Amino acid sequence: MKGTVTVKSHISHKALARYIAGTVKERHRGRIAEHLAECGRCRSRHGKMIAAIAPRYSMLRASEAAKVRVLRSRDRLAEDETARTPSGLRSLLPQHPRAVLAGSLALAAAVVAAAVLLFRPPVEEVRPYLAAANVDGGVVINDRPLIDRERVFEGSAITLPEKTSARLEYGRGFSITLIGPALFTVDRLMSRGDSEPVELECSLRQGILVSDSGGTRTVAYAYNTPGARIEPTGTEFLLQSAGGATLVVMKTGSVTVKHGASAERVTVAAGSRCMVKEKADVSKASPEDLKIFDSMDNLRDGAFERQILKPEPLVKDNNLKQPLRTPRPVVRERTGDNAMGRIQPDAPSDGNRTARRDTVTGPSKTGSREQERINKNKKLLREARQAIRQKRRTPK
Amino acid sequence: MKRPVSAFFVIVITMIDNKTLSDIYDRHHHELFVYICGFTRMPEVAEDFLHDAFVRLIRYSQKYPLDPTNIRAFLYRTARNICIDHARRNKKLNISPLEENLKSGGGDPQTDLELRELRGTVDSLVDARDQLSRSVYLMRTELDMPYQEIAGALNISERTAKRKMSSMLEYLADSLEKAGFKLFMLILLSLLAILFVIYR
Repeated sequence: MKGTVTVKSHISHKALARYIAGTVKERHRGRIAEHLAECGRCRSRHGKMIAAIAPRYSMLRASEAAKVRVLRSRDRLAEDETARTPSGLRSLLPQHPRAVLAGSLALAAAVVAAAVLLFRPPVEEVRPYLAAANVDGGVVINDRPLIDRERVFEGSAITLPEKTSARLEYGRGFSITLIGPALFTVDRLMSRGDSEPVELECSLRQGILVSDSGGTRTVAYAYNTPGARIEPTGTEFLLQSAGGATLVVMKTGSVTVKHGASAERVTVAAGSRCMVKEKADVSKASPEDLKIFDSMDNLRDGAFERQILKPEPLVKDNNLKQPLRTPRPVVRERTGDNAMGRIQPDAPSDGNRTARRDTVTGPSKTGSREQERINKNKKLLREARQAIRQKRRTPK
Repeated sequence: MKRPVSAFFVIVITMIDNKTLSDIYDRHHHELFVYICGFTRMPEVAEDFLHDAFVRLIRYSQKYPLDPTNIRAFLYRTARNICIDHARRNKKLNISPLEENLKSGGGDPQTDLELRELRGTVDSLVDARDQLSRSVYLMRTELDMPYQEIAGALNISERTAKRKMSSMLEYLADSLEKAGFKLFMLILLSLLAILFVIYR
């Protein structure tokens, strides 16, 4: 042990402390005891330490009253506990604290889950839309002015007066430039998924449009005119509808033009033009025809009168909500003996289209039934008025 | 107090009954009382603290099942906490040195006086140490408990208990030696001053 144990030298404080504490090593214990027996000074220090740390409280006893107090306190606490013993489910808490805790947590989780399910905000349906751009004054959408950057959704009807234009865009690249006077409706604009192209189907009842897909395949689109259906496959072309005729002037790509009456299909390639009247005539477009695509402003201002059909003034169409579709060339009779008779549809006319289809195939849609009912009522009214007039004319 | 693993889901907790409490009290009250006296040095206060420690044990038994192997440690820990709280609240905790309860030094008044002075010094030195060292010191000196029991009661290792005790005694021996030297020097200087005044 360091600095300790020679008879000649005295015991250090540390060694003495450890000796008294009983933590000195056994081999040193005997030597320290020997030294204490021989050295008076160290013996005195040892005695002083022993006296200093001698027990002073071990002889003290707590009174008997202390035990009585403790037992009485126990009884009082027991009474309090009885008075505060919870009933019902709360009584389970002291006995099954973990089970109650687990149950409470499960209940809370269920409540939170139910709240989340019940009160979650409705999932916003992302409806595809066309964005309006470069809109001239006077352009109307659904009987109100169309403004730049306005969203054009499915079912919208756009009317352009003379010498006005507007552009509708979808994403990057795809655009439709409308030149007035024109009547244009977006019959279908829907998305089947993020990876699928948007399905767009429009009706150009009259007027001019220049369609440019911009090389993108994000939109699968088709146009209907009163006399034809145009199904492009990624192109830039002009489409005009005027006086029952349809004109297609191709710049790039190609389109399939389907004659409305005969259902004849022709493909119009780049640098060609197609006039659809009684039938679809495809011819090579002149260089002047292709200059149409250079400036939409010139086209709007009537600079290409000879290259296009003569624009007709706007015709008010009350049936804009009704999509303009090419008539079915062949329709099976639903009733009849042979049931295989074919009916050749009349020349396409927007006004009597619905009535004709209803006559042939029966009212297939609620809108058609409604129209039929209105027509019937009008007819009854007309007959009633005629009867009144005749009655007045008849001399008494 | 650790909860038995087997009773993870179904634990029936009943408040400690009178007989059990009485047994526990009989088994531990003396050592606890002495231990608390070592802190407070006032038997009346120590009795109150002893009562408080047992009341806390009863309240604990109302909420959790008692583990018999840990009751002693619980009581010591609770008693120590009560003493610490009291000492914090009342800085004048050690105002009464229990003179009347001290052992007589052997009848010689001079020796008794010296012994009392020595114990007073030791008390102040012990009070200056940390609570754990004081606890070990009190259990070892007052209750003569083996280090193993001290370790169990204070929830420390036996080696720590021994180290704390040795450290405390070294500190006491060193401090007392220095205090003795200081006293000797003080007396010596006083004598020299008196002689200087007389013979000037």
